[in-house]
Amino acid sequence: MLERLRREELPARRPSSIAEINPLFENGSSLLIEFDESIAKIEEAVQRLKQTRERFERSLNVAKSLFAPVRRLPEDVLVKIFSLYQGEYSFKLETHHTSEAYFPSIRSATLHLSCVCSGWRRIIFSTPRLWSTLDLNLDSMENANKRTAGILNTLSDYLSRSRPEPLKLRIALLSTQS
Amino acid sequence: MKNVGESDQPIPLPNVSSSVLKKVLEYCEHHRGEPLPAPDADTSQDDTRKRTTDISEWDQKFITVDQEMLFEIILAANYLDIKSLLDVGCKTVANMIKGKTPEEIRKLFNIVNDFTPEEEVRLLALPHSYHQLILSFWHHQAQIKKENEWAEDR
Repeated sequence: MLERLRREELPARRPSSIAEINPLFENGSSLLIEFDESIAKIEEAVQRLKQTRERFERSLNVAKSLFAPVRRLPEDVLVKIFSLYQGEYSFKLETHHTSEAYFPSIRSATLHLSCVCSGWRRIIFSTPRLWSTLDLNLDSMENANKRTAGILNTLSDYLSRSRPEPLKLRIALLSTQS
Repeated sequence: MKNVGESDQPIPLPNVSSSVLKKVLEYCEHHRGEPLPAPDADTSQDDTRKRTTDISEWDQKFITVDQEMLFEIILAANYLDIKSLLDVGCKTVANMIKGKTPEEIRKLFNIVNDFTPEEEVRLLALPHSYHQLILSFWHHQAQIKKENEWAEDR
């Protein structure tokens, strides 16, 4: 048909009906609608299949997780691993500076690990030792604002969770801004 | 071994498979004659940082095993009360999770995120602006990197 379009000299002879070109085209528009309907059904089926697959994958992962070697470790061993992971200090308040301002930020190994799963979270929250080592650089804490308030809240949580463990503190207060 | 003391009686090892016991014996054979770590070495936090990264070359090679074996060795060391081997195993796991996000840690150890939607919401709000602070920290680090790159270009 494309060849015919290209070669036919103008004015071209008009076919008597579109079916003369191909009988299938007689009901072309309704055929297209049928195609669209079939595609929509297939897409819907694929979507359902994807959802079923997702649910199955989730169940499979849960089952695999029950067999995960890490689940066999007792609490005291996990606490030892968490202590080693967090290093000398579990909470670090640091000061960074850009050309315009000083910037307090925190790094909390304890909170980081507590976001892994409810089991780890329960162990971490019930182990005061993991909350008792704090390294505080207070340089950028002079001005009270939303950020420093957030940091103080976190710090307060640390202190209450560290009880009755003795604290290990390292505090730096250098007047870097002057 | 805990609560056994010196004895010439056979010691039952129901929790240690033969392949794991072979590894444990290999470790003990290599470290034979070395002084035992202080009994309270694992409770001292002063040298925790040093201990986290400090695994000897031989121990590193020894502990380069699949996860199943790694955790079996840790369990055996814990059961048999071999402190130095337990240390090596725990340090290895601690080093494996270093620098990883909670999601990456889950993937690494086949742990499922089992927080309820309500707990997830609480985690996001935890505690107050923790995540905001972390995000702003990374944003700030990226900014420092950009500034450094800009300075290096000049």
